[in-house]
Amino acid sequence: MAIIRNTTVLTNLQTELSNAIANGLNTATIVNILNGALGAGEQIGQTAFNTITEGVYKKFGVGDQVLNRTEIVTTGIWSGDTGSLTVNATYTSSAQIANISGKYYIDVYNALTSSDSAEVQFSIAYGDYNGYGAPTIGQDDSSTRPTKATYSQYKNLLLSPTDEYFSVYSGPATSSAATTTHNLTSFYAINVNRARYKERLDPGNISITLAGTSGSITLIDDSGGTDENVTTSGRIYNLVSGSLNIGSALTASIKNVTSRNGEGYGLFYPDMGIILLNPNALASIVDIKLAPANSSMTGVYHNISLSGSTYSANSGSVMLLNTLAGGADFQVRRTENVSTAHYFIRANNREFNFSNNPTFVTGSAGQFTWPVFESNPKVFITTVGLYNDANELLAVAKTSKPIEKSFDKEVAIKVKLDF
Amino acid sequence: MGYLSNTELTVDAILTKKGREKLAAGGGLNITQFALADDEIDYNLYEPAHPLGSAYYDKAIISMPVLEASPDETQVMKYKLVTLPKDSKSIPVVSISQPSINATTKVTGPITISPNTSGGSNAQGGYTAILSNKNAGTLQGEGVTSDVGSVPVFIGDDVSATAATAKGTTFKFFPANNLTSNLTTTLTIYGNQTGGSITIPVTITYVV
Repeated sequence: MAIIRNTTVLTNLQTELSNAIANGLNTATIVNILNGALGAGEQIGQTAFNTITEGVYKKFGVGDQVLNRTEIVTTGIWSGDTGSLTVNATYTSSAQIANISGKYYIDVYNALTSSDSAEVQFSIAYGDYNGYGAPTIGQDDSSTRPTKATYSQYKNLLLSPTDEYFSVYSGPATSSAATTTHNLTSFYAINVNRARYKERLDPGNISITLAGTSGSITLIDDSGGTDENVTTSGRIYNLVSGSLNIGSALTASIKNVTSRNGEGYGLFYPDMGIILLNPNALASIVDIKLAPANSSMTGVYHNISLSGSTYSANSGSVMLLNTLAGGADFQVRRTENVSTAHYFIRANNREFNFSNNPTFVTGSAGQFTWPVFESNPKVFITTVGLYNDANELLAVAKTSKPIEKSFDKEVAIKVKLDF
Repeated sequence: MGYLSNTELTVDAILTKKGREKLAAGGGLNITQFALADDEIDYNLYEPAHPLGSAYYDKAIISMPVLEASPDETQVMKYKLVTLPKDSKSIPVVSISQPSINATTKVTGPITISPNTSGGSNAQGGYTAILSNKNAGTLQGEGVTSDVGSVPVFIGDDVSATAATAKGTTFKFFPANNLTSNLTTTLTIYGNQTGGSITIPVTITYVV
């Protein structure tokens, strides 16, 4: 509450009140005089004097709108906003794999593709700097060299023009001794579907468990242990073995930064929704069939392991899918910046107590259906509409149940609008 | 000691098609006012003779689950709540003298439509008239300044593509002279302040 002692303001108010006796009160003038003496945050809105106006619309008062707020919203990325996906190696599309796109990537679904609920969750691709893992043009005139094209595609997308290779940790397993100097000449790319990750993946909340014949490993990103490395493709983190320690007070713990062969596990690009995995690192600790292709052969594609592949069928990307299914836990969250506005709907006891609902009235003269409403009308709010000055309905909100409104009750509803 | 009831409710709003259109146009929403509605409520469910007493008069209404909001602005906020004096005995009713408009393609002069509101006033906000099929003629509104909102909630993009709208306290309707067949449509007049409305049929008869 502000106490006004400003003599100029008090004199002006006295004059206006005197004029009001003869000519009526101009509330706008009174408000302007008062606001001249009030500080920021204390000023009165013009509508403060006009809140009880007959009609169907009510203007928002000063302070009834909280606009331009940004909230960071995190949710699970998989279908149904779940954070954990139990990968199943059979949740792929044979038609997609048989198609030309199958030589580049494999789409992985959340259910059998025959199911109505099946949606692509992520794709697995294999890229090779040398083009190994796919026929050369010399071996097959119609070869589109998909592994070479994939490597180049991700290189152009994620690396600066001066970089030729992706670099991962190299050296001992402890982070203090390891350096990021090992160049990846091949990788498996897990590309999260755009509709799933929306704005970006959430660093510090990714956990991929792989299990194969050699063992299992859980990969997390090292965002909790290192400063952010931001490049033209956004933030980059190294994948390391460890645990998120979800459900405990502990922060994520890193076990090893390199695999048994002394190479890092891969890279994580949260802003691009891309995870790159080092085939050699995974082959040394999870399954030998995850090893990179080391040659080009006619009719052999490392991405889909056609018969005659270097490591027979079920190697390459298919093997990565199998080890993901073996690990049975792929946890990722997404995060979005959501612009939010809050509107405070205040209906005081004298407002909005009658309805244009056809069941509220009877006859042609607008009489109430129930005579008791003549002395004590009651209405039930189910919908809030937000309008501009042209009375255009721009946003609408529904209450979870009808809210009673009468001359005995006031209602305050906070409407949250995200966009 | 019981728990205090939380009287402030928080609900999530969704943008209507019109709202998304405004955002896409880059002009911002510029929300300045609100209205409340009781769509879905059937006041015949109110039972002042309920055998369990007054606490149960509205039991059937407040127990009812409410449907989710529709982004189609033509399908929500149909029945707005209105602020009226406490001693009101009726809801403002919008009326016009003509029960219908019947004209021929030979009629050149305007037909004047003067809406009235009994039990309330739309003098300041005026009325919005919507001719459902703009091929039926031309609609002109008079008597309301341009800064008063004119588009009622019921009109959407689909409707506005075929309808003619005008704002005013009185309207002039010029029947179309270029029709080659009979045309039947409707004219609806909304009170911009009270929210009430009236709809009448409009028939333009083709005369050689």
